[in-house]
Amino acid sequence: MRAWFEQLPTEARWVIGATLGGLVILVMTALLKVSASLLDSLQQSGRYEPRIARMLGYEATAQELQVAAQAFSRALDGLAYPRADDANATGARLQQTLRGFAEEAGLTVVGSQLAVSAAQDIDDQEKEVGLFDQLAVELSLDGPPIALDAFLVAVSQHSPALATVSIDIQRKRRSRRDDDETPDFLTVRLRVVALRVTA
Amino acid sequence: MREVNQLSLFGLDLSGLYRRAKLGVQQILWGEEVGLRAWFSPEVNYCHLSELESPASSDTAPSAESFQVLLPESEVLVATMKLPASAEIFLAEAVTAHVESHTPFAWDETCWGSKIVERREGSILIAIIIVARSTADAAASLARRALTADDTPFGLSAEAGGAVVTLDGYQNPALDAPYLGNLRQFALRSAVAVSGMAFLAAIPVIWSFQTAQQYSAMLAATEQRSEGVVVVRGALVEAQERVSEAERFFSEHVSYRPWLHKVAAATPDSVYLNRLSIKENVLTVSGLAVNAADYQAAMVEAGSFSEVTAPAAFTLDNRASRERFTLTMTLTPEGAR
Repeated sequence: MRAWFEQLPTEARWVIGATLGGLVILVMTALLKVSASLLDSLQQSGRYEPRIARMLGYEATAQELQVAAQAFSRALDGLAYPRADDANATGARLQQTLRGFAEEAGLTVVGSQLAVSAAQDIDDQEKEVGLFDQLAVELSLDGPPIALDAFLVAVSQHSPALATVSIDIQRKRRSRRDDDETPDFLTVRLRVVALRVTA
Repeated sequence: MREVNQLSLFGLDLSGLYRRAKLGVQQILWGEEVGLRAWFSPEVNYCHLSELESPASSDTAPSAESFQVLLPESEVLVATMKLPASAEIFLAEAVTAHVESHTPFAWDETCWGSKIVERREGSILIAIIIVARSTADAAASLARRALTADDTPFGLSAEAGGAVVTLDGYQNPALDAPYLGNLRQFALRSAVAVSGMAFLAAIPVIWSFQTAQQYSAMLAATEQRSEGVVVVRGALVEAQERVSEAERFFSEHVSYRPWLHKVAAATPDSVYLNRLSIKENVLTVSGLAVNAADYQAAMVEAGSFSEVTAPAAFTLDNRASRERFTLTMTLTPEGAR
């Protein structure tokens, strides 16, 4: 073949070479295009298939998903205030509730303060960043130990859940007029935190 | 020889390139070196003019499809010419000039033909035949008469230096028809074969493309149908995540009430607590005890606390006749149970 090609006149060699070269380029380009198109279509199918299967799976378990979503929504209601309520309004309501608990338990509310920490202000290391605002109420209370116990019971039973993150209890000094039968009085400072779902 | 040509690109004259390309195509189609003509053309039938002159042979001659009638050597002037191979694009002009200078006949009475008979070391050797037009016309008339069917194509040629050179102007165009027809048929078959192969190669692509399209349509329909479910699932995932985080948060903050009860239970009546604080899971108590070391030991033995330490030395309060103490300890998860 090579000997045949080499014995050809120069011009014929050029034309044959150029034609064959052009054909090779054309065929290679077509092959590349076809391969790329084939690969693209296969990839597309590969991407769509699991998505369709997932959707069909959702459809098949729609009832269960609905039930589970409702269950988790209820569970969340027991753990955090809903996002529909304004954070400050919710905090104020929480503060009122805690003061009510204290008074019902027999404690005297000496002072209280509300602090709302938006989700983005909370330390980055804490995972609840972006999920919850923290509503913290600091309370100063006076009263007997039994009343403190009743107050803590009320706090632990509250829904949504509340967490007492710090407590400081001091025995209140007795006055000279108090006799030995006067029950012990405590000065309590505690910090109670509730969560609120962020938007 | 000089030619005015409009082929140019950015000032470069492309006429030479065009002529070479055209020559290359001619060499491929008509040249003997490529072999295309020998492959696709039917065998050429040669007969001498003298054979056509006898009546016996004129009866048998028309059986062939076409003829090349060879003129007698005595009627033909044969010449050779050598040219550089690069000058082949001007072959026709060079041959014309050569014939013009060598013909013994008047220019109007001259007809000729040429053929490259040898290519060697960058040069070409051309055989040229020169014939008087009256001789060629007489030979053509004789050949036309001799062939039984008038439409049998023929051409005039002559032998020169071992090669047969055709006479220009005396070649019936139908002589090349079988070759061109075969070539056209071959090209058509090749095109059909290539198209078939291309179609076969395209089948998987078409199939995969259609499959992808079907999947795309199916996905769109499924997405539209399950839009509501997807929203529900999204809400579920979000609620799960939030519940998980909230539970983690509350699990990290233990309820203090049971711990206060444990401290009360572990503290003997002889110990008076002045202050108790819990932050995170660290409990600090301070007060007065008859024997603070005993109280520390009691707290350790209670089992609910770990790392029970006294950050300051126990000191005797003379007024209360008791030791003043401060103890810190860690609330253990086991103690919570």
